[in-house]
Amino acid sequence: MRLSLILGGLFSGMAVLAAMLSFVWTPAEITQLAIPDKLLPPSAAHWLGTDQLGRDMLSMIMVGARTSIAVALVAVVIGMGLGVPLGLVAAARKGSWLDETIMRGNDLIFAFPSLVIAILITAALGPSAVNAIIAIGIFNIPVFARVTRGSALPIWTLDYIRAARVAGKGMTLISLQHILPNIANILIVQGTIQFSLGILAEAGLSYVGLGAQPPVPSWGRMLAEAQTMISIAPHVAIVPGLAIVVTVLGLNLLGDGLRDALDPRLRGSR
Amino acid sequence: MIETLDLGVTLTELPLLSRVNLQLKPGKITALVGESGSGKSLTALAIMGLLPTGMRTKGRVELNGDDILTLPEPELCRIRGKRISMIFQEPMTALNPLMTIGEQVAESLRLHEGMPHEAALQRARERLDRVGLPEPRFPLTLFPHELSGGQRQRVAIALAIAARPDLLIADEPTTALDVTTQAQILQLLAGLVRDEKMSLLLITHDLAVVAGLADDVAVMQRGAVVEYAAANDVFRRPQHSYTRELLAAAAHQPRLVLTKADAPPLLEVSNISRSYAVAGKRSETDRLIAVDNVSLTIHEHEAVGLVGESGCGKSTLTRAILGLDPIQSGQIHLSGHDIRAGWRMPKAVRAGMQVVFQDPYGSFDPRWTVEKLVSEPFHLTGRPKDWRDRVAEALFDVGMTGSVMRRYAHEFSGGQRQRIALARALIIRPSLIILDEAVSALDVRVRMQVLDLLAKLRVRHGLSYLFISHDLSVVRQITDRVLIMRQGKIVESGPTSRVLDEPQHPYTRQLLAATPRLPQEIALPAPEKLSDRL
Repeated sequence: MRLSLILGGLFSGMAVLAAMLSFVWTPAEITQLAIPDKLLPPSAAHWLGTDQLGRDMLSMIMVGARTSIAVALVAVVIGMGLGVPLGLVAAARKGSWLDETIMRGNDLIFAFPSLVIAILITAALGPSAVNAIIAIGIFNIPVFARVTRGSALPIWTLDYIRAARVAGKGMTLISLQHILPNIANILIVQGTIQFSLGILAEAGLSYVGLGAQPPVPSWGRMLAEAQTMISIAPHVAIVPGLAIVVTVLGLNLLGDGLRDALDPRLRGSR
Repeated sequence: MIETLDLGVTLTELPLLSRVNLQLKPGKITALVGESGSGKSLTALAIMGLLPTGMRTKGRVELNGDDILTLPEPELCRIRGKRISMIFQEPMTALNPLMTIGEQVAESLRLHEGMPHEAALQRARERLDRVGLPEPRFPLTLFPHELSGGQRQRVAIALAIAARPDLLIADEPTTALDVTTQAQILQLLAGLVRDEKMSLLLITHDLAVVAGLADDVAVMQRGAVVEYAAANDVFRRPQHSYTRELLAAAAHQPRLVLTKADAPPLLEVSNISRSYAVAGKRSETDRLIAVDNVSLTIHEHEAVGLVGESGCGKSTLTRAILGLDPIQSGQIHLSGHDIRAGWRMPKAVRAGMQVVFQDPYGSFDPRWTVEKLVSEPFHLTGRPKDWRDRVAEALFDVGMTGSVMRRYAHEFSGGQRQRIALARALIIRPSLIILDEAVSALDVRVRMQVLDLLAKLRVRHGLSYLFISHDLSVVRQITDRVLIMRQGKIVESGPTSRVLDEPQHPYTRQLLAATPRLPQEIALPAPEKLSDRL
């Protein structure tokens, strides 16, 4: 049966569960440094070993999941919340000045890589997880606006939209009742892709020091700090790397599975 | 000669096609006729060895005595396109948009005959001349988008016959084309069969297309050939009851609806015009005039047909009447109310008319249940408390009963969907229903049922219809008056029987001449028994 849905839910659920659990319990205190215990390989006391400062890796990963998921999730919400309505309006008013303004504004944002936006914001507000969210979120807006407009346009030409217009429905109602549900699968898939890209982007920003600041752990910064130790204690780099890979993979699988599960035409066909 | 011997197709033990025996002789046209899902296209794909994965063939397909079903794929590739070739329904997607027509025809020759480029181009030129695309009007350097649908189908034919195949399979080659173009393409195919001594397997759902063209006719039903005989015998002395049903349905006449002589006008369209800017051109004189100073009137309880070929402006006119697109001059009145396009057209005026579209697949939001779909026009009138009962009543009106309300549109067949579309149009009791090619996509027996239903509903609810179609025979069956439209103008109008029996305008005559017709004296079963069985 829907293997992708189950596996995707399992992988991404693990990351979310780890993040949730870290609020109430972690195997060890992550602010507790224990230099003598540094770079220990995985053992019964430290399931995933310890890092260069002797902190428990499992605890670090769990708390780091919070940062990664929160940053990526909020960034996707920002991107969807602003991008989807903009895309719907642009599609409904195709060819008008409104459409042009929205889409050219998007092009403008697209012209700056998210890293550059992050550096700009950091220059203005200082580095922090919140600023990483804003940077990634802004970058998500044109992605969603474009995907929404692009997938809404062919639907606007279909007969059932004309039937809805003959039934007297206006632009807003048609967009909400007909267009949005029919492009929801595309948006969900795009949402999970952006979510996983957000995790990667957060990791990237933290890696160059523009994301979460110490002592808040983040998967990206853990990778960055492990870089110099990869030859003596590979697990320090492998563990956060694997966490990113598994979560991103899980989210992509989840997106695929959700798309199929949400479409009544595909229901029961597999 | 190509012969199929007990050809069958199964999908995991499930038989899809069985016992198909056809003899496709050189210089002969064999028609494969049947409704959608009867296995016509499957037969063609099985002969070509192009079945989807998972399907298995049984029996033999013999090309001059050798079974080709058992051949390995590389050898089949040498046969496909060279010995057996195929053209499809949709000329718009059959050609590569990035290659010139000359290159496309030449490519097939280079592949199959190993011709050098220059010689292949020369032969391509000759083949394109043969299908009626001569120099200098149609140089080899044209791209598909520079051609019309009929011209593209000609290119597709040139491509298919480039290597002079033994057999050409034409799968609904004219279904997407206008009647006049259809007549030309059919004529071209018949000429090719005669001159090149190839055999043609013509797949179609339209019996009339076949009449007067095919030598043999094979009628398919549920994956089996139920009747296979010379064309004359099939039309004059059909043996199988299914063939008789098909013939009867094609010639069926719905009940007569009488109109009052002094009925007041319902829809008045006066002198409307609409033109579009042509891409790349800015000046006013270069605008494409889609609707040119058109006036028409539909009276209460009247059914009016609007006939024209693609691009004649009938869609633009429809959208203008529905208040979906603005017009540039003229006026439209429905029951005395002005119709102005835009999002703010009064709901009460909109509620006076509804529409049924051609495509039974695109007409419904795939995520809505039937009850939600059918109740959508209540947006105009406010949803009454008993809306579910009203939906059930409207569905009952169109002959849909049982547990249809909570199902989705994709669970229904084309004919059922068209009934649901009618229910949606009926639910707020409009006075005018615009039927935009509403039966064109339906199989002949389903079409007969829908036409009967339309006549019945007209009597019961006193509806008026604007029946838009390219098919004169359907228009004759259902309308009181007919308007013939060409290049944005209405060239002829009058009572349907008068216009179709004594056409005045040359264009009407041309349309009538191109419309395929069944032979006059065909054997029919008694009409009552037929409707009982359906």
